Amino acid sequence: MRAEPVVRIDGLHKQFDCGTVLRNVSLDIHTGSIVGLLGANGAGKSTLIRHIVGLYLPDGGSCSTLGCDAAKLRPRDLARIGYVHQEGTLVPWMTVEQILRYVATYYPTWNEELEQDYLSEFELDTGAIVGDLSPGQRQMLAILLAIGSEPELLLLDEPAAALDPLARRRFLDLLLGIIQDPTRTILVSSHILSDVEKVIDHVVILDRGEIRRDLRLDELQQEFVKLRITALRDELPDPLPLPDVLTCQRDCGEAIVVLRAGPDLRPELAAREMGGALDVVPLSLEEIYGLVLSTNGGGRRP
Amino acid sequence: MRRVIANLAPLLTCPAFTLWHLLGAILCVPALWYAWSAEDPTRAGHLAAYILPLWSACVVTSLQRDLLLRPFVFCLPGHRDVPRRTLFAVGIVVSLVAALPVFDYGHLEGLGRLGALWSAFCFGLSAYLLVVGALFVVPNVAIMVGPIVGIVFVLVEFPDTGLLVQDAALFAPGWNSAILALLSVLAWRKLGSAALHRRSCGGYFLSLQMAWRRSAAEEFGERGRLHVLSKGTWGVRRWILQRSFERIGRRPVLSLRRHLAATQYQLKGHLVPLTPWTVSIVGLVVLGGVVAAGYAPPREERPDVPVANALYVGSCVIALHMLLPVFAPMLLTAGRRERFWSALAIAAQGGLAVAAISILTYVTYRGMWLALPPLSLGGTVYPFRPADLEPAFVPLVVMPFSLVLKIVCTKWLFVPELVLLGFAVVILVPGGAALKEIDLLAVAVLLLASWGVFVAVLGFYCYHGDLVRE
Repeated sequence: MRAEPVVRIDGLHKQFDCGTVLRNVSLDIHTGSIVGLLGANGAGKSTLIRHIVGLYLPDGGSCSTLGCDAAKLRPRDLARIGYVHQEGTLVPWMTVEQILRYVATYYPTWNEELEQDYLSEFELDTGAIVGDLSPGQRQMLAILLAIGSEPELLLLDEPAAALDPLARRRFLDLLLGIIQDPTRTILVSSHILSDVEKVIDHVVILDRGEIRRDLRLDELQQEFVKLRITALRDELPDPLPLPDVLTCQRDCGEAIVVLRAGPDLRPELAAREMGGALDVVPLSLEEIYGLVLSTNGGGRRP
Repeated sequence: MRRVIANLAPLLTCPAFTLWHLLGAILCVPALWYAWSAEDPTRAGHLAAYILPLWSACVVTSLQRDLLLRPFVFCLPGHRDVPRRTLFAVGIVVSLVAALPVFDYGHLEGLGRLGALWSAFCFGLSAYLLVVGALFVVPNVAIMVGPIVGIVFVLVEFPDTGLLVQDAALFAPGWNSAILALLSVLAWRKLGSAALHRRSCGGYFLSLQMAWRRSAAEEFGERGRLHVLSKGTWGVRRWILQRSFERIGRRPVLSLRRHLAATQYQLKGHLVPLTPWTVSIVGLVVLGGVVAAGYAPPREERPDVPVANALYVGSCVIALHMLLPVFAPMLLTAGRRERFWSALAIAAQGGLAVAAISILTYVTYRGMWLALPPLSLGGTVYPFRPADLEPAFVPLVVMPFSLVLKIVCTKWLFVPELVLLGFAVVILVPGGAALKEIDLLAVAVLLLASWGVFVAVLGFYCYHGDLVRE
């Protein structure tokens, strides 16, 4: 029997003055999983994460975190959660040293050794005033504050948005280090899909407040196929005799085709009939994300 | 001209200007009417008309500076010339309007009247340009509006100085023309200079229209504080914060008491003055206000209400500045229960502080009343009149309502706060006589009711509301 999920969201509905932000969202996040929460601006990613930590209360449905109603999380439950939020709002008047000591007072499990390691890794000046830090440095500090207590559940809301390429690389290395611990659960929302692709094992795609996909990354990757067909003799036929073609780019006897994978798909056979050579090209998460939203965006697949 | 009109259009289309226009109308219309009907040559009535160019300078300069802040405006082709043309166009029109009352002055005739009109126009436009120049230097336009308007009122109210200024405005066309010519050349060059546009782009500035917006005002204040913080703070602040931080460690981990101590530490970082200069300046202003209000004679229609009662407005202002840690910036180990109780404890401590300040105000006045002799000025004797004790409870009634506003108003906080402060002023100053009659039971009921409303609203938001402020 599978253990109780770390986060269980059931039929969550949230409405603000500007409209409905989350519609009937149901989601389970299990221990040890690294979930990528993907979606456009305004898709509801931050709102969903804020429900998980209990900062927002649902208008309908329920959300439980670490086995407890998210709205009623107690200090000892919250001490098991690390949260980096999008805006990276911290206490601007404190120095880096002061804010580290201040946040450390809240957590019984604060790891000072880890703190020192990451301080030097992130090259943060402990004497600098938080409000004077660049957005990237502030984001680094926010990440450090979230992981310093070695939380069981780490929620990262656009953690790499303000980071430069070098800092993003460091952050990914850090994340790869963190995920070695199988008891740790991570939910990371990001626009930079090429980054999260390297660390996540589960994908949730949110579109205008609704979940479009909630499945393992490898399952999602198997949903679509990208083929390069090169004509060996004559021109390739038009249209190509392939089922469920989503996109097709043709150029000088070559066609790059993306199609929905299915049991009836026999690309080798079709290529042979067309008199062409076939290459299977791996699809990036960014491409898959685009396909999910642009093709038959509607309809959730388990 | 189309560009000038486009640069003035936000004055009509931006809702944030509505309140400023309303305030402007309240000030300028009676002032112009007063100047128009000021026939008495022994009073400086015409000066009241200059409220219009000065007010317009504040509003239009604020808009132009706000536009110059935006990087996209810096890149607009041909924009370099637009702010100065806009400012001069408005200045000429409003200075002309402010000069027109001279036409109706019976004691001026013929060429003398025309000369006075020209002189008044030059004086008005010069004053307008001076204010425009000053407003391009200060980072916060809103705090300049009061003093600028106040100067005109003082000049009108004090005929000796006022008449001197009015004579200079109306009867020195040569001097005024020369000054205007000099100022115009200077202003035209400065307002069109590339350096000014570069400096303004992305600068540190709070415009009138943004001053109402809570997030903009908070961000502006924070930038100012960071500027001082980066230069280093004084030992007293460091000592207070150090003691406060040590207290956190003495409370059990994950307990409500530890969260409360940590919240107090964080709030003290915001509230404790950054430099001794702040303390000295505030102290001097308060002391000056206390002494001046003590010697100020009561209004004729309310002889039994001391002017010093108005000092309790100061306690109300302090009450309005109390911070409430409901929407904390970081997610720490504080759940909704902890947020509720810590916010309640902080509010209670704030209430005690405000009560202490009110009582201190009263006790200080009593002490000064015993020590300070009557003041004799120009043959008139002004006895020192201390503040009454009865109004001391008013700030404590105002405070919970201001805290409710802090919870409920997410974007526009300052307008309701100003209204609340206005109510407090009305209760304390014109209503001072009625406060003398109020009994203890009524005071207790008022206090219980106001704090009850606050606790109910706080409880609702902490247990049933969203704890993120957008």
